[in-house]
Amino acid sequence: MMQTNRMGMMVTVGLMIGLPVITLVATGYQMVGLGGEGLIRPTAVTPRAAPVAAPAPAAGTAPASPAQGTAPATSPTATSAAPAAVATAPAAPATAAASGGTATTAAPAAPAAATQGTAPAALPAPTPVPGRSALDFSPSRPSWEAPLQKADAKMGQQLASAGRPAGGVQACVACHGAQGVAAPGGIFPTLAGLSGEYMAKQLTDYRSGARNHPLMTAIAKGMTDDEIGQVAKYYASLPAQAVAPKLSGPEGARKLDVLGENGRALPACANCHGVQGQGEGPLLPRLAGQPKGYFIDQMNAFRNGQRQNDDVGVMRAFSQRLTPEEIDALGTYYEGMTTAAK
Amino acid sequence: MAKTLPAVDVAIVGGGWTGAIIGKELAAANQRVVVLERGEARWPSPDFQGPNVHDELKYTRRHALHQNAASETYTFRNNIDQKALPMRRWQFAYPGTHLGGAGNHWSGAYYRFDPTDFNIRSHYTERYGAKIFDADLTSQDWPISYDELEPYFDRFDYLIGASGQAGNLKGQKQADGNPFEPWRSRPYPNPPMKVPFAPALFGAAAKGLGYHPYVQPSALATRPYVNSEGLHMSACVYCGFCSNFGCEHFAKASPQVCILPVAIKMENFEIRTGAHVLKVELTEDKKRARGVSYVDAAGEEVFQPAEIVVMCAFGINNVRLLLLSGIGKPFDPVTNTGVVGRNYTHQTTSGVNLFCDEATNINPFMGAGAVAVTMDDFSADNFDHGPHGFVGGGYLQIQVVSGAPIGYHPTPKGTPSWGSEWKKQVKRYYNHSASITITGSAQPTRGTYLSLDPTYKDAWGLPLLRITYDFPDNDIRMSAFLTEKGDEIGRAMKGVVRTEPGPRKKPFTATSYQSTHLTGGTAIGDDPNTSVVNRYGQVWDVPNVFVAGASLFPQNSGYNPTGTVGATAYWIVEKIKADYLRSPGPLVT
Repeated sequence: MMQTNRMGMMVTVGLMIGLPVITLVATGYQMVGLGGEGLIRPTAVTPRAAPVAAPAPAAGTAPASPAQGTAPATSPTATSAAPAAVATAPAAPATAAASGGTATTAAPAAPAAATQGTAPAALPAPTPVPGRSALDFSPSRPSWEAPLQKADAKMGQQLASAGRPAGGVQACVACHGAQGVAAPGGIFPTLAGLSGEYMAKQLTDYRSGARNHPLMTAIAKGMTDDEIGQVAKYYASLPAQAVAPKLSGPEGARKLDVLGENGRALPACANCHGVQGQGEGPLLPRLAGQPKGYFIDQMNAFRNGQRQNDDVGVMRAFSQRLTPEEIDALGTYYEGMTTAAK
Repeated sequence: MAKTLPAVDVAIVGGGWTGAIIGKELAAANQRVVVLERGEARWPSPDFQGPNVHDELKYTRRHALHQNAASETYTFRNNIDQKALPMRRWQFAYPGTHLGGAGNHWSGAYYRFDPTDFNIRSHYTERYGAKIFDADLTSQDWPISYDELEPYFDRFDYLIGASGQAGNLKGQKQADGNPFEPWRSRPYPNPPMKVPFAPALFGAAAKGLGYHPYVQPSALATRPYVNSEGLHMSACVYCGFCSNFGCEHFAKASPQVCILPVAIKMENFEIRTGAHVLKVELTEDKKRARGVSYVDAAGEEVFQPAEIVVMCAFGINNVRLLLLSGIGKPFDPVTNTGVVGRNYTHQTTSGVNLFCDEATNINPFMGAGAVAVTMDDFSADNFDHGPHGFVGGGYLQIQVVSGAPIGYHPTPKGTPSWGSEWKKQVKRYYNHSASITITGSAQPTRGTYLSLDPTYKDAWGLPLLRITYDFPDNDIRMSAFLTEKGDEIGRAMKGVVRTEPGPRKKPFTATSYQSTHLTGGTAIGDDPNTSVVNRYGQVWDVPNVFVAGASLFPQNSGYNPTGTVGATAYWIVEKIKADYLRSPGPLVT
């Protein structure tokens, strides 16, 4: 109801500048160990007797990551008797016993509990909701909001193109493109089309460590609150790439985008990220047109807990229930969801 | 001639919370279980995904997940001197249809009943003397106590991923919770919800007046959660499409999110949709059920033999099915005999509409079915009833459910109901108003009951259920008291420029929304003269028929019913598993 195609929106000609050496450095970082596949594990399966998700566990209580997805043999959940309902789960859906014209409920795809392997693995510890008790109902504002509201986009543009080398702040355009559209095939995100609120929150989260990246963390730490607001406001003012009239990409990815999957309790990506990946509201980012490398990188960062700024951990949970193949397909799907910049 | 199917061990009528809980547990105990659901299959994906599910016209106005009044409705009257008439449009109840029943389209407000709800007659009599009860009230004690049910409440909490902050852990008051909360053995599995602006304003004002506001517990998960069945839930995103909708995010607890994906994997568990049950078939001596008859999706009549029948339909539909089946003696208010249909109640709700200055932006669309700041200072027996002369109580809260465009256009009293002046006022107040909701208990009387209508029939030629109900004077006095308290808080709220208290008045009308919590009619009890089922939900007269759900409640609490519905379902099925399966027969003699 709230989505309208931005087909009519003017697309600014994207000037692709060659990526400087810095790109290679960053790519090297990515390849060396962050965002790798080693920490990806089967979906957590918790036996019903276990006191799952006791409120507000300390953030540091996540078990050490087992190597290459193999559950530790001593895992208490692996040896305890699974409930009969789960352990004996047959593959066949329930069927009507000779019930003639009676409609039998179509069984959705197998739930994770019944189909995943026997290797229960813990999710990263759920993020404790900060400062919340049943008596805490006073409204609070995010720290980045006021600087963003009063920010001057022109100053943001200056910082984006020239940086502030004295403070260790690199020019944004070096990696994110002159008009906020990153070079295809890279690992850097397109910023044009993201909201100012999302941008400001991300930079603030890099600074606090809720989101991590070898380059961005250092850059954000050099930025003031006002500079974050300015840069955010500038990029929010740049036009997004137009959404393709015809969706491309693998069918499985399209299904995840528009329908999700019942068996793994995966809601449609579009529920939050908008129809055709356009983004929704101030804080739910646009996915359409993001370079595939960036998308995969972020999904893996959610998966292994390196990125923890998804509010209460929903992306961390969803990403763990997707296979690497599905993440790859979704990357292709969203990347292709643009027309070429004219 | 009805077609007869191969026998099963257990036939369950209704695919909502109680049917899913009891069905799955009995299947896990090696029983062959068939759940008969009159509606169709509905799963979060694909049925409830956005943006299609955001359809207020379909789900709220046209009741897509509610009982279809065109094929089966109710007749209603306020008292036995009136002639009841069938209703085509109603707002007093949202009986669920389709998989998950009302447990799918509910809002997720999640409470346990207060300990005094279970011994209301003896508790109030002891504290205030028997005269506190008006002569017409037929309120009676439950046969089970809060303490007995606590482990089952706990179990339901961890099934649904309840969110909240404990106020009382094993008798120890907790600093960050509701000081009036009944004791609980474990914390909530998830933390409390975030709070929109209007509830925050309510909380600040109530606190300033010395009350004890807190964030309402809910069945909307507040973070990713793996429940007690090993199933995943996600976190609520406060989209405002909860009440009357299926949840697109796997965040609102429902049978299809929390149980059924596990149950349908079991070879001996089946959900049969499109199966509209007509009656429970009895043996000639009427002492035993043989199974149930239903009409299938093709319109064919089918007999499903079963050793055990469990009634898990929407509360008052359980009552109708017992009456249609000739199970138990129908209640007669004239002679005051019989039990089936007795002690029917609704809930006594009221509100205070608040209108704010234009600097106070409420953003009513930023909400969820159960996101509220609430207070229990006037719930149950948390205050001295002596000076007031009524029994019962209720909670006061601001809950922001949705600012959906068809249903939500608050205007002050005196505004025309259409035209340019109406539009002007809607524009002025849409984002600058809120309302305090007061949800109060309801006491039954001899004149509030359910029976078969002598005149009107449903699409299958069977008598409709006739509802005879009006508010007892006790509840009207209670509502006046609670609403005055609500008005006091509203006037103290920052930004509020006008309050319009609306205490509940007689007569009850079934066409206006006032909660949809219908209870009673198959009361649970220790005495067969005043109850339909014994303390394990087993029908006194037909021991292989069990009843679950809100029709068990001998009267209604001020709290929302689903927590107690879930707990009693676990209570009943555990007894069946522990004793009845081994030795079928009366569990209480």
